[in-house]
Amino acid sequence: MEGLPQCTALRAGCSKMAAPSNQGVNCREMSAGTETSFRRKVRGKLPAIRGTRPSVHNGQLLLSTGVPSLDHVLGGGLAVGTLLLIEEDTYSTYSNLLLKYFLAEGVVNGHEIYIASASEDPANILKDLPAPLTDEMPKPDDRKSEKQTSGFTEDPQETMKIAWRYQNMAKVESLPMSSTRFGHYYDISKTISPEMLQTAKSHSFYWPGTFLNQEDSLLCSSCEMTCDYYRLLESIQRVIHEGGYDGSNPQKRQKNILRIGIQSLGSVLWGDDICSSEHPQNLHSLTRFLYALRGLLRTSLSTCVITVPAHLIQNKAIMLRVRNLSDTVVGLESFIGSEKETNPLYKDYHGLLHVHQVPRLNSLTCDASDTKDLAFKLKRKLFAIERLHLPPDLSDTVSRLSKQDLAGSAKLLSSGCGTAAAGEKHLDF
Amino acid sequence: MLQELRTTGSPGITIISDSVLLPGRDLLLSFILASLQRGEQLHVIAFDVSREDFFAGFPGEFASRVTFHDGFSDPLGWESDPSAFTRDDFTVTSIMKRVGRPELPVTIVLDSLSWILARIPLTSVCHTLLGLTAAPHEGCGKLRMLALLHGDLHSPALLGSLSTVVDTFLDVRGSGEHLHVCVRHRRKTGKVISSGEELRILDTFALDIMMHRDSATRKENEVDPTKDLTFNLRLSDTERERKESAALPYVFSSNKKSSLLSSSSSSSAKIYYDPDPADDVDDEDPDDDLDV
Repeated sequence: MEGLPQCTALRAGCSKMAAPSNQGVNCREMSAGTETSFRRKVRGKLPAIRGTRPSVHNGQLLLSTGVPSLDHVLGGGLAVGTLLLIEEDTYSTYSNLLLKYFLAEGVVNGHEIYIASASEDPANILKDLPAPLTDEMPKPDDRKSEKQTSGFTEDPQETMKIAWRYQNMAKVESLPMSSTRFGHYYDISKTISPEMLQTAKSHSFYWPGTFLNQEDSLLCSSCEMTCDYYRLLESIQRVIHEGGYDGSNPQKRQKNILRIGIQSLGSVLWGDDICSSEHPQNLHSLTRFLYALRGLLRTSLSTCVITVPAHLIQNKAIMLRVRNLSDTVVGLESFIGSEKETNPLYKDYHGLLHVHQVPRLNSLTCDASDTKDLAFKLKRKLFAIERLHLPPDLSDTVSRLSKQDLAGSAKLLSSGCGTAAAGEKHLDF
Repeated sequence: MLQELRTTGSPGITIISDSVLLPGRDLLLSFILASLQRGEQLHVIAFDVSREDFFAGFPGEFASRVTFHDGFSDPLGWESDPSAFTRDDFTVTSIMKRVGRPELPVTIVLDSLSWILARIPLTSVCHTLLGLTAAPHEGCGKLRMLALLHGDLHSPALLGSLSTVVDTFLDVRGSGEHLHVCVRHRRKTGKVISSGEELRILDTFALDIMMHRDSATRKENEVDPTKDLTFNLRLSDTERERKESAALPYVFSSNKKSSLLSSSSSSSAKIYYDPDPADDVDDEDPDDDLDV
């Protein structure tokens, strides 16, 4: 454990979440003995920070991932102080997009942003963030027409004849919610406006850039590029401390959240060899880093999203450890280049989403979604995660005649009842 | 796809991966010539072949426009020839010093990348490659990079890691007398296009694409997801007939209704009601207040 900040590493083991509420609660003074000593148990008041809301399940302060349907899948959002690990798809197209959504959500809400990358200049990532759709939410009417074109029958009475109980089931696919403060929709064809970017405070960490600035650039150019995430950790720690997110340097003004996004951690460009050999030399550097990072996050008002090229990591034990060290783990599997691309089962989707792990925060249960079959699709203005199902079979071979008969008889039936009530004709049954 | 990449020149890093049985050097030469025809300046850093071997079979009018860096004759710098390219020269600064500040767009050819990967760790190779191509340099704009890689020399893990860094990956595989090339190109937007092409390389190093198969055309032979089910989703004609003729117990069909109606009208079944004396009968119409 050499080279790691000891205090934070120690705190990482502590399971209690950093409660941003602790300072501000229970400050109501007990008044004199006239009152009864019984008090209604008041749940700790969470600080009102833009873009956050308390969880309905365990009272954790949540913030949005930037994709409302992903929030829904993960039980409302990401708890402050936790770590979301995204296992990248093969070409890391969609994982980068998710990371950008997460950061863009931070910019929109005025959170502070920290970007770390080894492959792309963080300034470019910041410039490429998608623009939020603030004024026009997708209207329900649009959705309805969309459904019609995609072949669903409209009348809810007729859609489910036999399995009618399922009509009351909650829908996983989370259509746009009315709330505008928590979770936004983004248009990926446009980039965020520079004015909005200027209002957001951002920090960045560019691995090759910081490395070349050191006097040991000669070393870097030849062979012995040290693989240690120490500098990254140090940088994050400095930002957390200077911004007062750890509570040591109390934020006098409005409390704010730090959003940390780390791109492709563990890839070759970070100087790590876990992707290229099964028995890497630095077996533990990534796990050490994550352990210390988790400690930092737990004691601060910050949330971190990391993408990891899991499909490239050769040693499966490392991947297991990395998963265990993260709170929420989500895997993306895109259909690009795979044979699933041509499978009609998946024709409406761009990939599958696997929820590997959902944290149990201050409780014994987690708010895992009840279904494992989740797929995502990307439209220009919507990244939606839905329950995977077969598209409705609209071919002529399906027997649908009997349905018409039934509908006809149902109409007869209802009319029969009506007339019977009027007392003009005989009872039908 | 391949033809398009060859003529317009793909930005960033292009890697041609070959094997002993299927050398990709012809494909590399074809790309080199296309780049020269576009009027680009070309720097070849050769480790695998000597200068004579490289230019053997090279069209004469173009040979003069290639700047050749010899990494073959003196790879360890024993003869202390300043023009020789050694292992230590494979850095961004050193290569940029050799390239200089030309007016024209520059393409750097590595022949081959496998030689470098055998001597320098993958991480620093990737950083050098990205350092050369990702950011525009002073004096000359963005560089292009074209590298030959002997894919059978490296582990699949290394190839996978390398392919995340490069923009275009051409994998030369064999199929009979033609070359079969799997193309994977990543656009700047992050979109990935893949295709498989069968081709012949003509004597003039032009490409003759025999067959082209990309993801759009692959859709034709799509698989049926209901193929391997353990139950039956489709009904045969007789099955459907039987299903439709079956009377469901709780469904109120029209003939059931008519039979009920006819029986009620014809038969003498009646309901007799004997009022109980204790009954509190309300003569008032309960629905009196409604405007029915």
